[in-house]
Amino acid sequence: MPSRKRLFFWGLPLFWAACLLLAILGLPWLEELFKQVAPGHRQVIYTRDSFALLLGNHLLLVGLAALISISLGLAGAIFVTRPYGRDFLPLVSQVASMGQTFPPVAVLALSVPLLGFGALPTIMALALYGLLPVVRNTLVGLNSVDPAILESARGMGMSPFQVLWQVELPLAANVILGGIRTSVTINIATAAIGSTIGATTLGDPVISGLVNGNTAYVLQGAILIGFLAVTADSCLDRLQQSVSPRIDSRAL
Amino acid sequence: MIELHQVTKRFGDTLAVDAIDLCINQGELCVLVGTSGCGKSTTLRMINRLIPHTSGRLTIEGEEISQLDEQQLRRRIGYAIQSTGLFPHWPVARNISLVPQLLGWPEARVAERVKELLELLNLPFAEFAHKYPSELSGGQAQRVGVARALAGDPDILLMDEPFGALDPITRESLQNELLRIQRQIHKTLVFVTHDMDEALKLASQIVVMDQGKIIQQASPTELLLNPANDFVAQLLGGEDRGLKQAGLLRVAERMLPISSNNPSLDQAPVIQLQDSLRQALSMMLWHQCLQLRVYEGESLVGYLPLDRIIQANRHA
Repeated sequence: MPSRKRLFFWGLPLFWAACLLLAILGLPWLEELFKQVAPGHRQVIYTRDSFALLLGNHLLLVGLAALISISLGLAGAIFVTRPYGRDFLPLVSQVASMGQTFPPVAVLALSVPLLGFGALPTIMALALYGLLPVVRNTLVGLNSVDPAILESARGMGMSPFQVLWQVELPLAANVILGGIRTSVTINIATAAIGSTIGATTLGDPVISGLVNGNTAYVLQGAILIGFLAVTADSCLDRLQQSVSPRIDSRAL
Repeated sequence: MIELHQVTKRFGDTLAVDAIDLCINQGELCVLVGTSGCGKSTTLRMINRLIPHTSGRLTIEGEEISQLDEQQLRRRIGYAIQSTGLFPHWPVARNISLVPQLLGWPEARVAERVKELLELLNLPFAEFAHKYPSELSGGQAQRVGVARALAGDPDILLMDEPFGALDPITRESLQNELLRIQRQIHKTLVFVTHDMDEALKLASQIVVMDQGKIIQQASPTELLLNPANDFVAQLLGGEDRGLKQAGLLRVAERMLPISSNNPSLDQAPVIQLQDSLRQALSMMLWHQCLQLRVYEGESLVGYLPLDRIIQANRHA
C-alpha cells in the first residue's frame, strides 16, 4: 500500500489523538472561557494534578487492565474450544454473557470491600469487566470458522497448534479484535469512575467538580476522557481492519 | 497398498462401519459408492485417521496406521473434500504449498512444485497463484483443492465427493482431468461418491456399501454384468444398465476395419475412435442409421455396425 494511502488510513485516529494532545496542552489557557461556564468560582482550571499526569495514569490503569483481560480472555476462550476443555465451554460462555449485564459502577463498588481503595482494586475491577467482551468475542470468532476448513487443515497433517495459530486465530482475528476494542473503550470510561475509590485518573476533575459544584472541572475531565475514548476506539478500529484476513486480492 | 481387515467403527451405539474387509492395490482407483449414511465417508476418513477405527486392522504398506504418528501419516496422504476446505485467508499458491511446507521441503522446491501442479490442473500460474479462494469459481476451487491434496507427492489420495457440488459440465470435465492425471501420476486413489455414473466412469474397482457393510466389490464391467443383489442393480439404474455398460466401452474396441465393398458407408455419420459405444448408439438413434464411420482425428480408420455394439455387450 502506498504511504499516502496508509497515512489517510490512520488519518482519523491521528486526528483524535491530535485533539487530545491539544486539549491537554490547551485547556489551562482557556481560563476566560471556563469562567463563563462556572461563574462564581475562584478557580476554574483543575490544577491539583497536571492533565498530562492524569492522562498518563489513566492510560496506565487501562493498559494494565487490558493486558490482563486480553491474555486471560484469549487463553480461557482458546482453552474451552480445545477438545480437552470442551466441558467448560457452556459454563464460560454463560458467565461471559451474564457478566455483560453488570453495570461497571457496580463492579467497582463490589471490589472495594474485597480489595480496598486505590489503583489496585481499580485495575482488578477493570480487568475483570474487560475480560468478558474478549472471552465472548473470541468464542464467537473461533466457533465461526468453517468446520470444513478445520477438517481439511487436520487432514493435511497440521498439528493442533498449527491449526490454531495459522488457521483459527487469523480467521477469527477480526471478531477477537472487535472484542478487545469494546473491552478497552468501555474501560477507558469505567476507569474514570475509579477516581471515586481513590485511583488517580482523568475522572478526578469530574468527581471533584461534581462534589464542589464546579461545572468547569467536570467539563475538562469529560472532554479529555471523551477524546481519549474516541482516539483509542478509532485506533483499534483501524487495527482491526488492517489485521482482518484479506480474502480478496482485489482489495490490495 | 491399503488393507482393511475386519475394520469396525462405532459411534456410541450405532455401528457406522461393520467389520469390513477391503484391499486397495497400488495404482488402483477405488471408488466407494452407496447411499448417504452407508459408511463410505467414515471408511475413507479412517484411512487418514480423521476418524479412529474402533477395532480391526487397517494397514498401509503393511503398517498398522494406529501405530504411526497421526500428523506424519496425514502428510503422506492427499485429502480433498467436497467443500474444498481451502484456507480463505491464503492465496492459491500458499494453499497448495501447505503440505510441502509441513514436510519441510526447501523453498525453491516448494515454489517449483506449486508451479508444476497449477500447470497439471490447467490453472495458469500467473493468473491464479495470487488469487484468493473467494475469487475462484467452484470448478477452479476444486482444482486447487486437488492440487493441494497432490502437493506433498503422496502415494495415496483420498477424495470425498470432490465433484459433488459442481454443475454437470464442470463435473464431467474435472472427472476427465482426474482420469488424465491418474494416468500420468499413477497414485492409489480412494474416491467416495453417491453417484453411480461417476463411479462407473472413474473406477478401476468399485466397492458398493450399504449400512456399514460391503455389498459387492468388482470392476465396473463385472458390476454391471453381475450385480450381487437387487440393491446393487437398483443403484446401477435398473433398466438403464445396458446403456451404462455401453458407456464404459470405447468405439475402438468394437469397430471393424474398412471393407471396400460397402458403398452405403459413405453416407454414414462420423464418430471418433475414443468415443463410447453409448455415444455411438445415441448417434445411430438420432441419425436413424445402422452404422457409423470411425475417425481417428482427421482420418478414417474403420466402421461400426449396430450388431457389433449389441454383440459387444453380450460378450464383454
